[in-house]
Amino acid sequence: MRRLRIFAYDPSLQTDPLMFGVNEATVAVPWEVDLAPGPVGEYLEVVDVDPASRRCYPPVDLDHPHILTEDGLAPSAANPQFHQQMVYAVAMRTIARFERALGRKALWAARPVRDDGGNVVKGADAYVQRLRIYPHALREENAYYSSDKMALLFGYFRARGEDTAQTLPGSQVFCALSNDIIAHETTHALLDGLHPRFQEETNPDVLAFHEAFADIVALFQHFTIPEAVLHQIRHTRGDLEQENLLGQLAVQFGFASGMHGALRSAIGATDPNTGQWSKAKPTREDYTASDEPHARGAVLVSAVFAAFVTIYRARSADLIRLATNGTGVLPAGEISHDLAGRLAGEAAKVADQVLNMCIRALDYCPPVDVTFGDYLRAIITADRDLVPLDDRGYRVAFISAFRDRGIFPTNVAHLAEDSLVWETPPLSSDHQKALSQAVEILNLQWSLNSDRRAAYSSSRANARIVRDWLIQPAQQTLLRDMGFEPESKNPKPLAGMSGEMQPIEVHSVRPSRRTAPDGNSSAMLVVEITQTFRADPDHARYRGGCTVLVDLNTNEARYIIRKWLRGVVGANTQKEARLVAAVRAAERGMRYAAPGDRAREPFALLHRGAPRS
Amino acid sequence: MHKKTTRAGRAAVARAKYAASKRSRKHPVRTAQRRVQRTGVPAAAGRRATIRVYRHGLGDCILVRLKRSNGSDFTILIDCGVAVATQDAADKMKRVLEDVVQTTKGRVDVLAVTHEHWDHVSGFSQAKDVLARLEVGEVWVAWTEDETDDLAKSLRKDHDQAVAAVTASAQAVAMAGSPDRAQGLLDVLGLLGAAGEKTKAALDIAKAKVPKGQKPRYWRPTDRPFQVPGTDIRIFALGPPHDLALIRKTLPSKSHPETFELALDGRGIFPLGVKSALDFCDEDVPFADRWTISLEQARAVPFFQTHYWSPLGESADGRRIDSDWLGLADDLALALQSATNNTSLVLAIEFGGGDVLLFAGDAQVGNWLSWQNLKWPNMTGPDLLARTVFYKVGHHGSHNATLREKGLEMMTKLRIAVIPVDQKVAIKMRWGAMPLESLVAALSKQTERNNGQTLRTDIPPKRTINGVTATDLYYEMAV
Repeated sequence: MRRLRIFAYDPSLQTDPLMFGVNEATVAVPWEVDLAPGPVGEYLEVVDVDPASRRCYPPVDLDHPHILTEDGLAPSAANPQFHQQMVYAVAMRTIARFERALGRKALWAARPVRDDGGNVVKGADAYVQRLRIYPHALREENAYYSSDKMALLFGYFRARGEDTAQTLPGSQVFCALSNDIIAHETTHALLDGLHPRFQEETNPDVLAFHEAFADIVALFQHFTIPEAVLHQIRHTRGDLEQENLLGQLAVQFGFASGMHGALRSAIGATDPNTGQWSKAKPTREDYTASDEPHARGAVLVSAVFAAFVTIYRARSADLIRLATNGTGVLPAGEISHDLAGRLAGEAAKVADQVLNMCIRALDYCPPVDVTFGDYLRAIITADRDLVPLDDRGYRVAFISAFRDRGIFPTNVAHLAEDSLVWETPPLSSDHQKALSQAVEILNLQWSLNSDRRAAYSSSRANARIVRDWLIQPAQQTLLRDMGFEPESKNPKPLAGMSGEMQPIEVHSVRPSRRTAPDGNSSAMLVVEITQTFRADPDHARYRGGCTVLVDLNTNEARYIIRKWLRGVVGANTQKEARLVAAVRAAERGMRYAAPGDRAREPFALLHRGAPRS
Repeated sequence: MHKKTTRAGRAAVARAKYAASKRSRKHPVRTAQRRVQRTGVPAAAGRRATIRVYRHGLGDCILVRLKRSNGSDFTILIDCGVAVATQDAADKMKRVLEDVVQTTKGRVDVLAVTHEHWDHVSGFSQAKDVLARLEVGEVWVAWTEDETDDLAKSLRKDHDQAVAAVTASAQAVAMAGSPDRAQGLLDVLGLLGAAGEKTKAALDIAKAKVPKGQKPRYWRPTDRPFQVPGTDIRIFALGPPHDLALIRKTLPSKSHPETFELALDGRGIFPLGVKSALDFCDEDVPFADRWTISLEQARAVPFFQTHYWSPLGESADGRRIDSDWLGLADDLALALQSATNNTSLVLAIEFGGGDVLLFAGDAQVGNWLSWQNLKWPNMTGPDLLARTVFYKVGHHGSHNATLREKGLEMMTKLRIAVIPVDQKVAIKMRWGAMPLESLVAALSKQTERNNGQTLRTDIPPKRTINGVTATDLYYEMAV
């Protein structure tokens, strides 16, 4: 491992006496043997070009003996090479976190290949080895992931006088020095690599999901820095009512980033008159209250956070009882060092597990048109596959937290674990057998140890094999069971629209290996298939899709997660969502990017429109 | 300042009266006849007015002919322009103006120009020769063109600064190697023609059509209505409001940041750092010199050559970020465009206590809202809306140029609505949903309830109702 120093929050807290000693942290990131100046490694290339200033900042060499022996450069806002070090360190930590949860190497989304005229060559995608990071690309309070450039762009700006008490008015503030922002943007890129169609606003949840998921990862990453957690636990000792403590912690984390106002208000708020912090009370209307991506995303973040709090409380109750002779009432004064240490340990552990559940669930999502309800089902199913017995109530905590905010999956009989897990596929034994045979001819050597380019190529090759196999006439009924139909120039009207049904596309064939707490290891094959309907007269795209999860121990399909175009929530709801999204875009004076259209930096706009602190 | 405005307003009225009396000297008999007649009954053949909306593309050109009691017409030409991205724009405008000259026998009584956008004025310069053959009685513009008005002056100053900021951005974008995006930015502004000619120049050509020794009439909503000589018809100016906050209000809801209502000189939208970079000022360079090398030097550094200017292994296209810091220029350009739209002169033509024809220019939210409080002798703003039977839809049917509650829903008698639009060109111009589907639906519902019809100039109507004529060149409505 390589040890590097970073800001645990962001540099504005450098001069906050309360944060003294904890705003800097030394973190371990995976050791890369051939790390070149930049840093340029296997996953990332940090290129510090600042066109607005007409300047470049020379790349840092983290392998230089002077830097290596010092755990990297000392945190400093004035040294651009420290900025390069910090974006590298935080992004690498985020990538490592994903790989650990998913049990395989992370890949970035492929870039479309363009011909000389700038038009996309259909079916040809280019492998992108490294995500590029530009730490000083913009001069505004913004940072975004650009899937077009496969890059993270960070901005810097002059602090306004009224911003915070800590910053010097007029001083430069750098997004590239905020732990939250770096983790958030890196997560966007990782999620896009897994689910490229989650950028398409086919329903109001999709973009909200992207934002919320990036916030969840950024938030829970803080709990992996032990000094920060310990400090916060001791600092907020005054009201060691657990939810307040952790709520404040989250808000403190969110506050440092300065960008996620909606996230903070979803968890709680400080009364401006009394200065008292109080938790936001969830209601069943939270979910439907707004379809603006940030507001809606905040509901998902607060649901996951509430689940975290519930689990943490259950796990730490005994510690409090032990420390208070069974009364549960802490004496006045500072809490004991040991207790604080044990509580911090519990918080870190639970945060790690919750984040694992959230990331693992990505393999259990439909490839298109995801909703929060789907995500809940994915979390529950993925966790049950790994930990069959929920004796600590993790899954119950998630279900109740989602329920309290009015997030209900459609087509589910009961809000209970056994109803929420994805259904086993309605496949005949013949189909299962055929499927097993097909899986056997695939090359599935992609794991944490394999070469990423080879993983990319084998995923592509496997996708072609699966597609060719699926479109054989013999597989027609299987295809139908997956919710697809044959390619047709003149299909049955869809949601009252005529149009063209395009052939199926197999997007991804990837293995997912993991080891459960009980020592069992499991391996799944994740196959994502989509189909597009082009509606007359403007060829608007409507997406259907299906994720097939094949158990590699038995080679049988375990789940088929369908987004059926002709289903109850298929093209009909996509049509409505499209209209709503178009009107909202128009109200903001923006052009609506329909699914499949090339938009102008969707994340840049999304972040610009974000409420600021 | 308010007092001064009122005085200026009165002066304008006085000037207009003077102009009217001058004309009435030419036709003394006719004027005398009309004054007495106040029945509101159409003078001849059941037709009180015809409105010809030209179908030349994304842009406005409307010819209104009002029947006088003696059978002759009082003619008003409102705007004459088409969007930059239009093909054969000059030819189209020449055809349109040629038709105007022919129909009016070479004279319009009033030439009204709503606001300074290419799609409303291009024709004056593109068809300059044809325009030369058109005699104009009076030129009407909004008070925002009045050089003696303090608010107009300060708006103009803001506007010029914003234009400078967008132009500088466009230059920087072009220099960074994206000429198309740069052109797109300028196109959004609507301030330049296809060949780079200035929109203001085209507007000036129109203003110069005033008869010698006269000035254009600078309309304020506080002005008394104009009495059309020889008729019982009055013309009201509803907007633009003489109020900075309302002019800046261009968007319908409060649910999004107020960015668009901020100062237009770029301060509100452009962060200071972007401004200073555009001014080639180094004060916002974030690091001390010892940490930096210039872009030019960096081109010779192997690291930047490999990873930025000519990456090995990966295709070089499209991963550089030379102009991404100017992403907000689009927003500024859009805000500026909206603010200019909001300075639209809005005219309501009222037939003796009865029906109203409404020409909204490209008025946006703040302009519309201001009508609610307008009062004249025997008339109010809401009253005019309630009587509207014909509506020239604002801003080519965009989302923020027709209010729902304080607009369309008040027009309970609306029979005909016309949207001058070309959706294909609007997409090319990146002007968003134009027309907005839900607005078209609402207009259709409203008009059909009154047995009328909503027409788009880019789509031939499946049928036309009685009183509407459709040709390739125009729609003509008899009212």
